[in-house]
Amino acid sequence: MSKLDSKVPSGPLAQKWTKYKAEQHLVNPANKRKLDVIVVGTGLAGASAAASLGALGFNVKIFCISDSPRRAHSIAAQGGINAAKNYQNDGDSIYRLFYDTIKGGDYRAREANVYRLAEVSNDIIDQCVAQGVPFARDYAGYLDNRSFGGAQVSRTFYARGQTGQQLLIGAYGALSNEIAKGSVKMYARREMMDVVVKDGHACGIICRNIVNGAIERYSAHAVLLCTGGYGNVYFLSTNAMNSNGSAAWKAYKKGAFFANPCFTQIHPTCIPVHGDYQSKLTLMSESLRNDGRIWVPKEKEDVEKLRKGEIRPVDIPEEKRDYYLERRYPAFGNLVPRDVASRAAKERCDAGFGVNETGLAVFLDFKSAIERLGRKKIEERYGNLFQMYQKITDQNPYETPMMIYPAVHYTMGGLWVDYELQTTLPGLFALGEANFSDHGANRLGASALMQGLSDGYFVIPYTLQNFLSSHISDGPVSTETAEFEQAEKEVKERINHLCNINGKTSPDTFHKRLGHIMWEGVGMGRTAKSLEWAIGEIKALRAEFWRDLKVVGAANEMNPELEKALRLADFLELGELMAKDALLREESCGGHFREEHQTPEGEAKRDDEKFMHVSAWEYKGEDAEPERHIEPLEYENIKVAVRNYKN
Amino acid sequence: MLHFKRFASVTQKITLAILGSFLMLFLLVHAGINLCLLRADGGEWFRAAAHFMGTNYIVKVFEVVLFAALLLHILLGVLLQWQNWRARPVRYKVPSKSATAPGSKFMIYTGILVAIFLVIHLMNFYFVKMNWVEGKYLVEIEDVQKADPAYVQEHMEKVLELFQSEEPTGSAPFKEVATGITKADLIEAFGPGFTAYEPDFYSMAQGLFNNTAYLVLYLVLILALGIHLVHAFPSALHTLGLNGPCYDRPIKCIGAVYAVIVVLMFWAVAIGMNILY
Amino acid sequence: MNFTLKVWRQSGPKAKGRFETYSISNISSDCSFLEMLDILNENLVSEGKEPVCFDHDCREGICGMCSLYINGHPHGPDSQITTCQLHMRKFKDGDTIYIEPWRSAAFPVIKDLTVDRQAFDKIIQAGGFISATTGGVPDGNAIPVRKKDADTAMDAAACIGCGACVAACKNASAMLFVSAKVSHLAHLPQGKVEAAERVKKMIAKMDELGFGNCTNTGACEAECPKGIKILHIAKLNREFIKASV
Repeated sequence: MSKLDSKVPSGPLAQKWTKYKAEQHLVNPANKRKLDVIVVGTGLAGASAAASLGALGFNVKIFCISDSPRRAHSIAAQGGINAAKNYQNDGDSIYRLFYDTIKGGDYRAREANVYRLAEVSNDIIDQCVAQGVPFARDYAGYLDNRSFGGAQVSRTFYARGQTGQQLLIGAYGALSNEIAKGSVKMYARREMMDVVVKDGHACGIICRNIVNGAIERYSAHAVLLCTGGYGNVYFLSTNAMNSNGSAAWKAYKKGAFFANPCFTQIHPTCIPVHGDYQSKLTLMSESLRNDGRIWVPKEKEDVEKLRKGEIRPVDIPEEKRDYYLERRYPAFGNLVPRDVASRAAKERCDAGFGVNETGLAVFLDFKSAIERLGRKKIEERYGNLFQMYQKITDQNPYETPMMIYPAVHYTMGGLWVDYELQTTLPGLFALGEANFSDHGANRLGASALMQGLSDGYFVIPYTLQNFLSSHISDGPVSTETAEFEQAEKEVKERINHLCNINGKTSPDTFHKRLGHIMWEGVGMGRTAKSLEWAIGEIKALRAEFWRDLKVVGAANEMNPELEKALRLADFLELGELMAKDALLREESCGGHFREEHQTPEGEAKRDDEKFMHVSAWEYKGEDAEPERHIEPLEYENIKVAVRNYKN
Repeated sequence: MLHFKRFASVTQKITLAILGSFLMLFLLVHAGINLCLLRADGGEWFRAAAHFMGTNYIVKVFEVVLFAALLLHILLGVLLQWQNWRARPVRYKVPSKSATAPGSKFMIYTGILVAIFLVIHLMNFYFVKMNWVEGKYLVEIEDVQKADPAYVQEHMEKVLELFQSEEPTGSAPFKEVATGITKADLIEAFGPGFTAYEPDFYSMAQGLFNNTAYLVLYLVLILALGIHLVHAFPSALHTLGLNGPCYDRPIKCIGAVYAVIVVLMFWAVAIGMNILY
Repeated sequence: MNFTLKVWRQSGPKAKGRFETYSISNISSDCSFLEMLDILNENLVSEGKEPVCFDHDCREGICGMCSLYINGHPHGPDSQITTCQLHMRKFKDGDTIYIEPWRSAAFPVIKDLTVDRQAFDKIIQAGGFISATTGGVPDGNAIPVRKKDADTAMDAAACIGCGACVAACKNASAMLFVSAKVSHLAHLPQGKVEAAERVKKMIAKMDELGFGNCTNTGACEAECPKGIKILHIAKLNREFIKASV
């Protein structure tokens, strides 16, 4: 256990962060100039961290896989960002946000981190407003809120259906300001290939310049990974095409522990799969569940007729519709947390009530909301989402209910970090979705934006100083060392190897096959059997990958095929670890649903006795089994209970 | 780099718009004066207006401003266009099919046509006034006294011919004004030193509009001006920042109406002159 | 569905490009345009040929990464969408489709259909932000913002920085992009403080980077995937005049 020191400050929960800030070490302005920080990734966490650290006076280098920081996938978050402002006077508080987040995460998150998150949530809103984020306003000019899954208060701030975009552009603006001032240096179209470790301490990274294929070295006193989640291991997910798990995976291989890899979130409201050529799944914001009602027909014959196109959804009368979420969870209804909503949809579809040809879709219906509020109001609230749906499916959701199905969306698991967001590899920090810290086994809607910005704006500027204060006399970090030499050599060899397998199969073909294995074996419902099957299949696929991969084009030019291959090589290892972790977690919690562990009504059954802990995996070498470490979770301020969204 | 480093692109555009707006006002005045041509008064009103425009000192100052504005407008238009072409060195294979405001894609081309028209127009009228090219002139009967009396006496036959009214109005068999005179006529009747004449724009217009080839060219080039104006009006206001959600449609409508009116006014005069006089 | 594709291929920034012709068959009408290109690339790879490079990322119309000038339209022949949201049902079976990169001096081609749009970042760096550093800001509700202003600001802020406005403009002008940012921030009380410097600096940077001048044709508005109105350009002009006098 000694390897996992969470460094949570002592004292009462509400005082921990204040106490930490009061007692931590700081770096004075003159010394800040002497310290280099590398930030990998320019999403909410990366951009906000780089902007904040640059403003403090550190020398920041930020790396972006795309041409601009504004492309980071944070931009796609639609619904909103939570904060405990209680502007609505509806009983919200920091404690309640903390409580809802822990409960939503099915009691698998670290109390102190989550409380801090809730605590700084209000500062985030203030910060974003000051940056010019055009949050929705009411007629008095004050900030408006909407409600979201897993909460009984309205605490979600939003900017139409583009909240993530607006927050990212706010952070991007702050980052641009620092770039213009020279405190942050921007490296666009660079992909991190490896972390360089010297004397057990992260001291830099190796990058591939995507434009010309050059392998480049960058050094720093600390490295911050803000590289997002690894949902693309499933091939089909709501993640962007460039989202990948490689940075986190390289860090894992260099000594950072990987925590709870099996905790993936399946989002309930996505547009269903429609063909094998499909490249990604499109999310329809959770906010739709505020006014949309989810249903399937009560009778099988109606299902049959629907699939054959003999009747239209609107032809099915009210009494023949099964609003299953409202039926099963009267208290929360359509606003149950994501994992619950997803599983309920899967349950109905598995029972044969899926409403499209593939049998993998349920209805999300706005008819009653349109009747109640009028089409104009609905258009105002969801216009862009409805338009997006119509463009993709060619169906008009004002007239016919949307068809939705769950899809992989977010990974709660990630690099293990302590209270300071430092991984087990000293000098290496992980922020945002790349770490595991705040969402337990399931993330509530509108909390990802909150976490990314909290880590970047309000946590790392403090905790990083505490770390760097002991490095002020280190002097500049050289890239001309044996460690950099070695890391660069390994990267080049790996690229060379991939380019010269000269097999027959393209990276995408392998990726689709991996995605299929992951979805079938490590998807919404997992069993020991499916997981063991997946582990075997992944191993076999990995072997085939290294034998039969075909990468067209050269390494020293822009080569998307090579990029895909590099990322896929890591996914092929990560997928196996996810399955292993899922196999050993013999309980159902949050997004991790083991079919062996459920109540007679089909609800998830946790095993707090044995599994109220974080599993953190340590890499032990190419051929060795990774070691599973445990960080026990203690709940001193919250009564651990069975999640209940029924009453 | 001809990017006028000291002046922001928007400054250049605003200048272009201000100059353009001024020219658009002038066009209304010009078209208004032209309408006098249609009055069946043998050119009386038109000549009076032309005389005022040609002799009034305020108008003379205005004339300088007008020419400066015109030149600067052309210069800036060409400069901006040159920058625009440079901004896309490699062109698309498939030409743009994007919806655009009417006329907006052809401003430089309609502008060039208008400039060509201007050259012809100036040669036909303004240059005559400047005595750079030959034209038609008019002489008022009282100004005959300004000529050398001996010379006039000697060539009385010619002078009488010039002032003889075909259809004598009132009691006098003479016209108040002799019109449509050429330089040769002038010298013949009043001698080489005579300067008390002015260009006879009415006769020159009459002559030109009765030339079918010229008429067609005129109509076409005025149409080009109209197309220029359809976009010019809303575009100028837009560039001057004088547009908003409530004004957008009205401005575009007014712009279109303005352009149509200007074109119709000029056309009406040209066609009318051709048919009537 | 079957299509003939004429795709711009260019091996590097300095290389001379040309159109290559490819035939592609059995494409579902529900297939998105980029998925169609994925299939093309898979076909090319299986033939051992280099796949076509094109920018893409989120594939849900928000990251602004995808570009492509398709048959005379940036983002193809549909309104208010990005290329990734374009579906093949918008084409007729047997169509010939020309695919070109964004063309602008400020967006040089990197490879095939991929262009470098960092010029946009540079414009933002010139002043497209409110320079509030982290911390020390007032409560979010301390400054009320008129709903109408917040809504207009949001209309402008919806810009995804894809560059379709530049690609569509006959002058390769970036005014819609710049005006969206200027207008977004100028409509908010927080943004008014720096409004004058912002508009001047951003325009100066835009000019320096070699974008053309706006002639108010409206092509940008017609092609903008987020429906940003050129009225924001009028707002920019207003802000510029205010800042200059």
